[in-house]
Amino acid sequence: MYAHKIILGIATTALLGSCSMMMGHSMTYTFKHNANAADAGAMGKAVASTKDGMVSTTLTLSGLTPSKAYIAHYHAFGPDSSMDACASNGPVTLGFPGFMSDASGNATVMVSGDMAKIAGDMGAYINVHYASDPSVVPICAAVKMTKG
Amino acid sequence: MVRFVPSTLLSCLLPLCALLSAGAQAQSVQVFPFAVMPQAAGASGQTAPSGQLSVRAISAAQSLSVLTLRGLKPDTAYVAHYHALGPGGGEPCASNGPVTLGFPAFKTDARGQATVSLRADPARLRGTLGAYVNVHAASDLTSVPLCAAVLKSAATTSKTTPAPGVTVKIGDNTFMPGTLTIPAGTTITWLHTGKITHNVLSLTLTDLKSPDLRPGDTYSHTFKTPGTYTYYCSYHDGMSATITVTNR
Repeated sequence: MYAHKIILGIATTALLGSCSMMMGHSMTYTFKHNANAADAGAMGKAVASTKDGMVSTTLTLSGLTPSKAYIAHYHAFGPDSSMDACASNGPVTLGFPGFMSDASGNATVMVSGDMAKIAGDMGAYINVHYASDPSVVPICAAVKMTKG
Repeated sequence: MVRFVPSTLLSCLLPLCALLSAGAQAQSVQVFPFAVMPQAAGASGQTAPSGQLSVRAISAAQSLSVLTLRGLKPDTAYVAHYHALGPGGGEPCASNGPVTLGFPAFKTDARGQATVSLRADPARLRGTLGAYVNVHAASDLTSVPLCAAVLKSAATTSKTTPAPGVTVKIGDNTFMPGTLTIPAGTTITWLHTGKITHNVLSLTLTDLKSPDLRPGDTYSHTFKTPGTYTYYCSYHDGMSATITVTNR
């Protein structure tokens, strides 16, 4: 009888998990400032919601340069680091639409894409770049902690 | 403008002389005339561009290169680089070698004249690394009005079949050509012809890794092993290309 309860518990958990998969779930990633002087007060979060094989990610950012154009991307884990996605220099796998910060340095931008584009190492981190010089990357949110 | 120095300093100058030319003489200043490149010919009525490169040893660890140029377009931005001898060898100015050292960007005056200086460690120009100096129009780096050959001749540097050098242009935001097939041993030089920063990286070939490349910069890599290699710019969505390396 005890074993019967265990089986029932497992079945319930599996059922709930299945419902969760169908209804989708979300993950939140926090942006951290990179080791540079650009937008010293920049911060923000990325909220990624998955449903039916699609992922919608919304960036909510503050502390940016007011009224400035930015770009942001999901990147794959790159060749330069296996333990620090933000330092790995990986290729872009999913790009957000270009966006402008408002007069207070705040910005919100959202992208939807096929989950396969950022599956596994393909979606290791999200970078926010100056549109005028993409080598300037004030903030980065690590999505995956280690490569592989 | 040749300046002689006491003999006690000659020992310090010898390494620089050796690196500049196999036929170099032990003197403090080496002067190399600029020649007009074929593509710059024409423009009747205009003074032909000309000039010279002078190289002076300041110490064993530092040399001073000075470009004295005239006959260029007035009030126009230019860039100049030392180039290594290209993989094809031969005449240095025609060898299409990678950039090894850049002069500061400069602008001609109202008479089309300019002087620009560069201090550098002679080691960066040793051997064939400082084979020639090209002067490029900053707005169009493929426009090279002047070249000064530093190496006397490179015709005998290779008796084997040379692998040709190939240039890939970096635009905003594309690599041109996007696909390329080359024999092993070929050196690819990426030339930034766009306006915003890019780089060249690969997930499968980890030593293919450029620094940030600004307009006018170049980066070179020699592909030694057959295979298919995809590379990318880490700053731009969809900016990638493929190189297939075949057996020679």
